[in-house]
Amino acid sequence: MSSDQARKEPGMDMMTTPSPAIGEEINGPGRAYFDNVVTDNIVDALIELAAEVWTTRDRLMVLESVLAERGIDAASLVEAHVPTPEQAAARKAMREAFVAQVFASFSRRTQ
Amino acid sequence: MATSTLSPRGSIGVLPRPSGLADESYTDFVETFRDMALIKMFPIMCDTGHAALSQAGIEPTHEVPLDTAKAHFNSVPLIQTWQRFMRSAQEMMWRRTRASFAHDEAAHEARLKAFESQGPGRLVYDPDFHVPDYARREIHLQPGGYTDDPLGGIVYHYGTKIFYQGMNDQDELHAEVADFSAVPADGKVANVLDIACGVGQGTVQLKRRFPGAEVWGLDVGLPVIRYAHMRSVELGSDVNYIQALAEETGFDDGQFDMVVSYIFFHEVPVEVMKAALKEVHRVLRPGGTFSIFEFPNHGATPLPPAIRFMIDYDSRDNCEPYSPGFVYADFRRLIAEAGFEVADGKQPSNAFLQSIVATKPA
Repeated sequence: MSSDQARKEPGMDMMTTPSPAIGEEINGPGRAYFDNVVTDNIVDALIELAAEVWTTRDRLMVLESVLAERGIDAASLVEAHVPTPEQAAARKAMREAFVAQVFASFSRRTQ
Repeated sequence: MATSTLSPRGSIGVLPRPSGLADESYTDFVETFRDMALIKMFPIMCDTGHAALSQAGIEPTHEVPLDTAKAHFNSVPLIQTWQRFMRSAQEMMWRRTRASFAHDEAAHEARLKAFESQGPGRLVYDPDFHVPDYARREIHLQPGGYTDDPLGGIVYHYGTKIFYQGMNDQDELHAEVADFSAVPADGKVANVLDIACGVGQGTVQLKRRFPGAEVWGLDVGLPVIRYAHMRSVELGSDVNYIQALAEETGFDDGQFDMVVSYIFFHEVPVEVMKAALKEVHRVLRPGGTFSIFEFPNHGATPLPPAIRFMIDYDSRDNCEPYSPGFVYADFRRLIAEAGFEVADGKQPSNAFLQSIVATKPA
């Protein structure tokens, strides 16, 4: 077997349907199942929120474990923390990205 | 075994980790959510749909036309919700998995390229290879499918970890397929072919079982076999991969003692399925075996409305465009028509699958 071995076309009729763009299935209009598409959007948002809640909770558990192993009482330090303007701006940017992710459905299916 | 180059956060055994803890936590959530929808809600969906038919005065038998079943099922809020959950979970799985491994896409491509010339084992492909349109589907909603996304190999590997809900993290199901594949009656196994090998999880396991054999993995998708080769090199497994079609492998007549396929036939059109069966018959030597592990195939067996509804959903909304054609075909008859003797194979622990051994008469 060699890499430059000649190959012929299969020549089967069902092979002529256009191929989708990469990610069309997950980034295109998707599917709607409820009578009102807003319900689809709300459920999508609910699942995204749940995923984000879990992701954050998981990270907090890891963080607290890591810090505790080093003798740091994270809970008290977090409550006492005051952000700098730069930190506040960075958190705002991340918050905007978070909102865009959770509520993406409402712009995806519009009617 | 070293798998440290597959992901910047290392590996979970032979499985790459996502590039960030947040990605891993998110996809863990999707895996658990999917289990709720797919495993725990599914029987409730079936019962509710059948109850809706009964309330409309329709007995939920196999004789109910699919369109009738769909009309009633789709009016039930729980079934609308079930479909929303299934679709959303699948979209979230691929979206986050791909984003995670795309985080360092250039470095991943550089690793794939560097491994192309390394052994053990060879990677064979023709840069001008033409992928037929039928294969360029985003099967299971995976972006780019098996063929069009350079990251497709690692994305498929981790995405299917979620799909298998942790049952195949260390290739356990593929190991079983390799162990349950049928050996020819004369016991001679010098050449083995794994068709539609994907990322080579089964190919590596076949080499483990038959260390003295020359083992080839074949797939239409270059992204998946490039990843398969890199992974096999890192695992130290001396297997070869080639980009080719199952219906036109390019191998010699009678070259193989054993051919194996795992969940392949339901992902191609029926005409390709027939052509692939003939091609496997050609490349097997007399007495050689073809072990097939595949979706259930019902042929003319009656199916309740809820199961037909689920198959229809999966085809339409999980991008399985060819599965209904396979499920309702008389698969065993088609295998026999290709020249094989057909028998039951050893049943894997995944009871959903059927196991068939097709033997080329000696």
